[in-house]
Amino acid sequence: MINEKAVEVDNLTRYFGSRQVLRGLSFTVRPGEIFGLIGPNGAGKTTCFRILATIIKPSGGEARIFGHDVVREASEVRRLISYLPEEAGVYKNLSGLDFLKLTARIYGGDSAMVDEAVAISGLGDSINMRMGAYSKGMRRRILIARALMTQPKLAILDEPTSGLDVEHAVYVRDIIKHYAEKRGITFLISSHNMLEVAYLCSRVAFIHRGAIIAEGNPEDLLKQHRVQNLEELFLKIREEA
Amino acid sequence: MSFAALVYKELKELLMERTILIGIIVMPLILFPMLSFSANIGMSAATQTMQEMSILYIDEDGGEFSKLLQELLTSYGLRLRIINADGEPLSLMSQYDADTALLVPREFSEAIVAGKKGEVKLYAKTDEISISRLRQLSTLNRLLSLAGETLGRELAQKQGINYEFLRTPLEARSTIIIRGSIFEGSPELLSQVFFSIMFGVPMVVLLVTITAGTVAATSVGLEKEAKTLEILLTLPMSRMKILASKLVGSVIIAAIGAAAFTIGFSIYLGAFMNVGADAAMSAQAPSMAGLINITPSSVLLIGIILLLALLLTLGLGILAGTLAGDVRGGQQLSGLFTGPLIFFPFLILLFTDLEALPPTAQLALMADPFTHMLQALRAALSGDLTLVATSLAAMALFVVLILGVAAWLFSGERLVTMKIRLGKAAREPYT
Repeated sequence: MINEKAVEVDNLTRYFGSRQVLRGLSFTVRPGEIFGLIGPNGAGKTTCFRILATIIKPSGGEARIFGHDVVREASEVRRLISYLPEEAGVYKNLSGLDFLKLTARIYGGDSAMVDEAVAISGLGDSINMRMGAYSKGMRRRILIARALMTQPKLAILDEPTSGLDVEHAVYVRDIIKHYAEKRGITFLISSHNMLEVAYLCSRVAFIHRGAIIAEGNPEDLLKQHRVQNLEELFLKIREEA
Repeated sequence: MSFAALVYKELKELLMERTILIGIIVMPLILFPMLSFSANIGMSAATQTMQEMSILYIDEDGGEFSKLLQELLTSYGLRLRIINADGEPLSLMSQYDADTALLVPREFSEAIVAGKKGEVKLYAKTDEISISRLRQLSTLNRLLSLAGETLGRELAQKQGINYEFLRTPLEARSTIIIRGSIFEGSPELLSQVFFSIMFGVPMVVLLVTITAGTVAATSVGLEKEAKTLEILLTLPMSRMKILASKLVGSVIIAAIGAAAFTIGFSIYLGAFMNVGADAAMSAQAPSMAGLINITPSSVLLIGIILLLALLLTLGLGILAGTLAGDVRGGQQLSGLFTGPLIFFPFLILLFTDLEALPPTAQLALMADPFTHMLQALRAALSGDLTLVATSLAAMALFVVLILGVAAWLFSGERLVTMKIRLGKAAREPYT
């Protein structure tokens, strides 16, 4: 389907009690691209991702993943996506390998799926260690491996390199780039790191107070707003908003 | 396949969780045997010191029965230091460095021959009151009573009197008919049997169910605390399947915990069981068989009751885990939900029947699902199948209700957003 959209978010709203977190959020993600959702803490990125991942429901508006509504067709959506929350943890008493095998069994995968996940993680012999003993970087690697081993059509990664040292952060970025280019997986990521966004994303959307204030190709946006980098761009458009 | 994988994950995570592993499985297996071991050491020490204890036997009487008493006490294994002297007993104890003394005063034998009671005084000095010392003294007192009985028998024989008859000229026999079953035994014996079974069986069932509730709350709390819940919820499987895997995992852990508790508790009880003293009870055991229906069918019924009780507490545990933000919060809430619901009817029905209570109290208890569990257990043990059936039906209704609410909460987003801890409730400020 040539005109199929990987993600279609249309006028999405969400309240927590009387507090409105999403205010008519709209954006689209094309199949195969790495799309970055950029915004400060509290802007609504995680709420948006949780709605797309079918964990919570929107108060209004619609969201579709490859044409499937996230509320009415949640089971179909879950078969298409992999979601990695920002502060995702691990089962501390399972080894990395146990965890990957468990994921493979849930998705009906075989040993080849597990082998590929082990390769993605790049953890070597540490794959047999209890995950409770993993460093933050190792945990992130195993979770990235879990997210990609099932060959999802869409991977939703919330701050995938947040808190990681340079070595682990570079490793994770390279994996994302590789799987988008070689496997055609669509990525929807959020990040505070503008350099990372500029390096990874083919398109970005800036979110501020629950609404998109700019969307497009990073280079085009820089030219359009006559700024040097994405950080300047964000500050400028936030003032304008 | 995927369900089995999830159950495996639950078991591995729960079994390795310190609060579960130590509190539910390891502690009963260590604590009870340790208590038993300590009790055995204490009792052995008390018995040993009893044999080693030197008792000052101050014989002011020097008569026939005083001598007989000496012989009897020595034959019981006591070591007597006999002195035939007058004096203040406490001074004599200090002089002979004795902490226990028996004083047989003058005219002890004469009094007995004259048909009056002979008096023996026990003196004991102690720096502190310990169980072992108290046990020594009570044993000594018991041996004195035993010796007194033997002296009485000797005296009666000399005077040609039937001692055994005079001692108990009345023999009380009881026939208790319960729901048509005849029990030939004393009410005291019946009370012992009733209490040990009607208290013991529900107690074990209650412990298993409380444990299961805690495990289920821990299972959900662990996912929240480790922040693995959101990944779990986006797996391509229904939340009901995820919930079921948690229930199955919790039941298995609860069963292991129950086995550990039963083994540990049996060891503990074993330390206090005096087989000789229960010989009379054992002899009458066959006549109780008809009274307490421990048959294969009653065991099956107890199994069904236990299963429904487990589902009840698992539902409450899932509710608690869903509403709480972490393991501790889940366990606290689970205790808050299940504790009063279980122990109020247990304590009330331990001492009275439901029918004997005022109507409002009956209604209040009937609204508690665990009342029906206790009623069903009693009925299963006594063979009242009608009451078993109605109680099981009531339990099943509560199971449907509680599991329904738990499943509703588990399938909604409150599972992710609620983070209650005792004393405060808060929603995470998601953005």
